[in-house]
Amino acid sequence: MRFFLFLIIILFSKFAFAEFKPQHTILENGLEIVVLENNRVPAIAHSIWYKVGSADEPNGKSGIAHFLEHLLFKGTEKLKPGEFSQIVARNGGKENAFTSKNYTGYFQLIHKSKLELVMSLEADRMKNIKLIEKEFENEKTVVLEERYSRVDNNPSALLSEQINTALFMNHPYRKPIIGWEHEIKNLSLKDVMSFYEKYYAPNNAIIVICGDVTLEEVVKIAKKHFGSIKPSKIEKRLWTEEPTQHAPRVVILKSKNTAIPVFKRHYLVPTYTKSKKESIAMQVFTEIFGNPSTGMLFDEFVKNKKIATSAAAYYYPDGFGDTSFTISIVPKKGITLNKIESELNIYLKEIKEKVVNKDELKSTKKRLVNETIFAQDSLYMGMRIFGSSLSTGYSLKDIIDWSSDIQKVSLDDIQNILSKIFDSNKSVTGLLLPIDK
Amino acid sequence: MKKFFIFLFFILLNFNYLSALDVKEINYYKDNKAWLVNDNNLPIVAIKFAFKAGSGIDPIGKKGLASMTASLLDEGAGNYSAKEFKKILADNSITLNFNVSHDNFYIDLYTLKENLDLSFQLLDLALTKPTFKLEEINRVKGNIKLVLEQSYKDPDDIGARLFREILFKDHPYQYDTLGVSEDIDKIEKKDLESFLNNNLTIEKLFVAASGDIKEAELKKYLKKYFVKFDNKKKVNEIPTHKKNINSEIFLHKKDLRQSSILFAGKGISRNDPYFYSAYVMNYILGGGGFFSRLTTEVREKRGLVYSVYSYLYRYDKYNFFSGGAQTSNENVVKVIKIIKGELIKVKKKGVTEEELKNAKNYLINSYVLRLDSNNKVASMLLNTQMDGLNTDFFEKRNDYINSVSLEDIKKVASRILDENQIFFLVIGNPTDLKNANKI
Repeated sequence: MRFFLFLIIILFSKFAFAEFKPQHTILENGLEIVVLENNRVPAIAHSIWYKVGSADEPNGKSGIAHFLEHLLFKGTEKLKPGEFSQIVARNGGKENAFTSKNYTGYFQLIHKSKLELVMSLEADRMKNIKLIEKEFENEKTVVLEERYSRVDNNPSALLSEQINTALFMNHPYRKPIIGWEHEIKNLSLKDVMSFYEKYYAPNNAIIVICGDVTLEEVVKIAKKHFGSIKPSKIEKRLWTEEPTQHAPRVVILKSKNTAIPVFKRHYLVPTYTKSKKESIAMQVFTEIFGNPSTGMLFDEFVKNKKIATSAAAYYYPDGFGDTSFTISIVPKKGITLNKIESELNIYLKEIKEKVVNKDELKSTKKRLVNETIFAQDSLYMGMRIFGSSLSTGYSLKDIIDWSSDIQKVSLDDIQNILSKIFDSNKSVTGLLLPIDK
Repeated sequence: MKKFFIFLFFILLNFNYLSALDVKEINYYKDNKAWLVNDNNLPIVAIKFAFKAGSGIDPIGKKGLASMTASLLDEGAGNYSAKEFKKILADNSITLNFNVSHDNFYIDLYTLKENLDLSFQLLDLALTKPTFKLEEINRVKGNIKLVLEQSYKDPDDIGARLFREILFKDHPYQYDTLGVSEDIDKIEKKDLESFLNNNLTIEKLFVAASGDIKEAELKKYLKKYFVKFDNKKKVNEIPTHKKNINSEIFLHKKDLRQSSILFAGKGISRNDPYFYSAYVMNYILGGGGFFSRLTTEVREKRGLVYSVYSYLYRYDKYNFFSGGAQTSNENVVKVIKIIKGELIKVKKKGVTEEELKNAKNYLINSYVLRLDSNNKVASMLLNTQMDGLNTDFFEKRNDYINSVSLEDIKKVASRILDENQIFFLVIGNPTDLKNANKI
């Protein structure tokens, strides 16, 4: 991310959009366009998503995708470094960008009359960024400082980075998005530019706009500014896959910079694109099992056993191949992480017998479906959800059908995935241990 | 091609978005008024409440009382156990949060229209019949103490704690809203009850709503559930705080990869005629994120930080100007020097005409972006109301910004950006910092 986002970011479970009515088209050069009309205020959330992220980086060059995201603000043949942001701001716009394992996204929130302005700016930097060595080296130290702030100074983030690398033994998701420090330091201008030239093209991008505009207006402007950009040859993503995993792994981080011990358990599980039916069932199960204030884990560890102050689980369905199902428990003062671990292992052995309540299933599905209404209460959310889903392999139909897919989940569907989720051979246990000086 | 860009970029319109915001003032009881924007685009209602009863009025020896009360209100009420209460909220997709700042006790309600009735019933139970079960009290105490421990270990939390200790010494604002570790166990059920009974009074209540709710409905609910808070209690006042800041550098040595720098100086009151001048000045100096003077000098030109910023902050009884940055240990002195230099430059020379024009364009034209969600609108209404302004503020706000002149900024800068009255606090292991006060 180019700057800290001063926004509350809700964990995106895959909200749905029965009520969103996305309109869609593809230009001749392959550029996809999705418009979500919302006429509440005369504004738009305009975004462009490139289907390239940290998982696409060549070996030994981690951090390129994110570094490149920073460099897209550093000027083009027409614009001086920083001018992009100045133009957006003096037109009343807010903007930012983000990089994930699977995609890189850029967005502006702005008055609807500025649609052509922001589209012309994005079209310009799709192909024309211009960099000099000095700008490049300066931004490299900025990225390193970002890494120190976000990861190296933050024990919890540092532990997550280590867990992630242990969880994915062979898949490129094992690399941190921001990159390894030593590899960021060795990146050259040439490395980054060749990555840019290879992946930034109309046929590898999606424009998603949520706001007070029509598809017709958008297409007209898009053709004018993006129409002449030639498509590139984009190869199909062929990522190394995970082998069969045969042994549980444990990662322990001891830190002087925290007072709070944390127990984490990550399991390798399928993404939505790998196994749609299982993923949908897992989303419902995660809500029942892992909701931080009403879930089964909270009930068992915080309320019944009284050995934890918090207990929750998360599942990230986006991506290609496998992803992680994560349990996170903070023990009560005086309770060891070993105690938490052994209690969890006992609890999970009987999980099948515990997930049996039909009413619970029904009310949970209702909650999830209701989220689709709340998701429309801001321009940013719609843009973010559609953009991230479409650039991680969901079809528009998948997104629209999400509510009805959730409704179809049965207790059997959930029972059937349990042994697949809680397979200890595919797990990493992470322990964050506070130490005194 | 360049021409085309210039043509496009310099046509700037001053949209008058704000007159589109139709704010209704509802007199629901005596002098009490709630603000409402009726918007039925979605079947959603957001309502925000604030009582003037924050952690700043926590009694000595019971620091943490307001916050603990707030966090226990949804842990069982009426005939519902904590578990049942939370489940009803979740199953009906109702967000109901209670939390405190130093000055205020906030209630945040966000719900589907169809559950509005139920939401108010649950809110009423939480405020009037909370169970305060010992088991839940003890559990919440454990959580609070754990988080307070972090303020002695986690670099960001250490920074926040020391910052408050320097700026607010001997004033209630010096404590975390969560309180003080030693006091937490001294707080009992009867303290929680008396906090609720004595401090939540309708004379100190502010209400703002946005969404699919009409004036009459809101009025009906407020009458039904809030008139009972007309209990004529005298709420404790937070004392005013007078602090003369000296030019000092404080260092908390900690073995970290990167140091964190915080700074603070005098601020400005909301009622000050130069408030908007200060607001625009801060945007240019360090508030505008991407190309403020601080970001340009420290990040863009020299690559010394990822983040550097400044802001104006207002408590009810104290205003200050503040900011921060994170940088590698070997660059701390350099970064402090540049920040100081930029403050002095604005104080001595003001800002340029172009900077002022760009700032006004941003601050005026971006206002529409605050209106795209019910939560944002309700928050804005609540804050404006609590600032003591009227509903016509939304029509006048752009004119206030437009009227700021270069001269105004110079004047206000000379008041706020005084290098002799700004302190710096460093958390980390800077290699080149000498003459710092160890803290």
